[in-house]
Parts: sequence; structure tokens; C-alpha cells
Amino acid sequence: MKCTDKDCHCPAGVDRSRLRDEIMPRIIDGQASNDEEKYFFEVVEKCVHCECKEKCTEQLAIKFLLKNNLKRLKVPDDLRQSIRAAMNSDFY
Amino acid sequence: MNKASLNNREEATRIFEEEMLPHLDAMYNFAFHITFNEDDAKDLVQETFLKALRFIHSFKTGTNAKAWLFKILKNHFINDFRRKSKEPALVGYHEVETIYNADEAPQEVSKSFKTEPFNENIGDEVTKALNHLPVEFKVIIILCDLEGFTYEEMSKILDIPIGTVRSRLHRARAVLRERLIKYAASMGYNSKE
Ligand SMILES: [Zn+2]
Ligand SMILES: [Zn+2]
Repeated sequence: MKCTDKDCHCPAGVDRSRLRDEIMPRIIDGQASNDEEKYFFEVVEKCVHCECKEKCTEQLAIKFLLKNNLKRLKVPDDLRQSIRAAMNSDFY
Repeated sequence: MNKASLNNREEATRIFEEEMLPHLDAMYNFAFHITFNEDDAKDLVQETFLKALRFIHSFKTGTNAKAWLFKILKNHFINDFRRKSKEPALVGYHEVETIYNADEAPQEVSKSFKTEPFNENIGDEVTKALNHLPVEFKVIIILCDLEGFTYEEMSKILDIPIGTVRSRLHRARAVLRERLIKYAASMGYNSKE
């Protein structure tokens, strides 16, 4: 899916589906390379037809909501102890 | 590290101490979020560690111990653990994988994949939304967003191609988005930058 709008200021031949399906997820999950990141922000700033900026903001909101709100538990002491006991036993 | 020395008791203990035990909290959290029950989570982690002890000779030192443990935990959960718990899955894991890989709608999977052994209405908005997801979606969200595994690591843990990791994450997030976007905004999470 290339942007074919002659009046659009995005980089020529920008592949919006690759941006949306491959680069955006890596941006969201912090796994994009520097080049990908640069490319992503260049396109989302310049291409008037690209919805990735909005989608990216939304998905990041959900990601951080989960990260900050799901409870994190400490492993119970008795579990830690029984695993240690198994380690020190002879069965393995 | 050759196999002979790995079989060495002392070496196995060292690997366990240094490379496995530091992930105990993360494993317990993963187990808790997929079972939503502290006792089940304890059993699951305990059984996972016993398996890990038994198969320690197949672990290559210096490789990713956390991913190795999570893979054992996930497989044990899918293949054995759920089977003996109250509500056995209606279809096997591999059938589900086929459904996913065929890129079918997630609704169809959740219909044929009856897995929620707990009340999904317990807890806050975020917990509820997570518990509402089919288990395969829940697993990938926890691995990615809570544990911060890379796509490559998740692909190994789940035995699926990276493309499937990405599309499963995408679909899981689309479901979460529907349920949580308003709540996220009300909590101040949706500001544009
Ligand atoms: Zn454009
Ligand atoms: Zn776009």
C-alpha cells in the first residue's frame, strides 16, 4: 500500500502497510532499530494519510496501562523453599 | 561446557542457583496471570522447576535461561496442567495452533477453546480485560508487556514464527483496545504525547 497522493509531503514511495504491520509493532515494543525509528517518525509526521501515529499512541497507552496496573507478586516463601529442597535432594 | 560436566552435580546446582532461581518471581507472576489462582500458580511453578531439574542436561549454559524456563512452564500448562484442572480444554494445543496459523478470526478460537477456569469478572478493569482474553492471547500479552521478551524469544517460547507472534499480539491488542481504551483515557493514559 503506497501513498500515491501527489500533494502529500511524505517520502516518495513510502510503504504504509510495511510501516503499519512491521515497523509500528517494533516501535511499540521497543525493538525497532534506529533507522526504523527515524523512518517511522518521518513518515507519520509527513504523510497525511497515515494513521500510524494515532494507532501507535493508542497501543502504547494500552501497553503502559497493563504494565502499570497488573499486580506483580513475590514468590511465596514456602514455594521457594520447596524448590530449594528439590534441588538439594537426590532425585535428579 | 560439555555434557559430562553438565551432568556433574555441582555444575547443575550452580546453573540452577545462578541462572534459574533469579527468574522465580517472574515465573510465579506468569503462572499467576494465566491461572489467576495462587495455589495453581504455585503448583505450576513447582512442577516446572522439577521438570527443569530433570532436563537440566539439555540446557546450554550461557543461553537464555528465562526463555527456557518460560517455555517449559508454558508447555506444561498447555499439555498437562490444564488437562487435570477442573475444566479441560476442548481442543488440544496443536489444533489451536493450526487455527491460529490459518489466520482465522480470534472469536472462533475462543469459541472452540474453552479455557477460563476462573471468574473473569473479578478484579479491576485491567485484570478483567486480561482475563477476558483467550488464553493464547493472554500468554502473549504477558510475555511481551509484562516480561519484556523480544519477538524472537517469544517465537521460541511459543514455537511459532515471528510473523505469528506479531499478528497474535496485534489481535490480542485489538481486543484489549476495545475494552480498555476509554478506561485508559480516563486514567490519563491517552494523552497525545
Ligand atoms: Zn503520503
Ligand atoms: Zn500508517
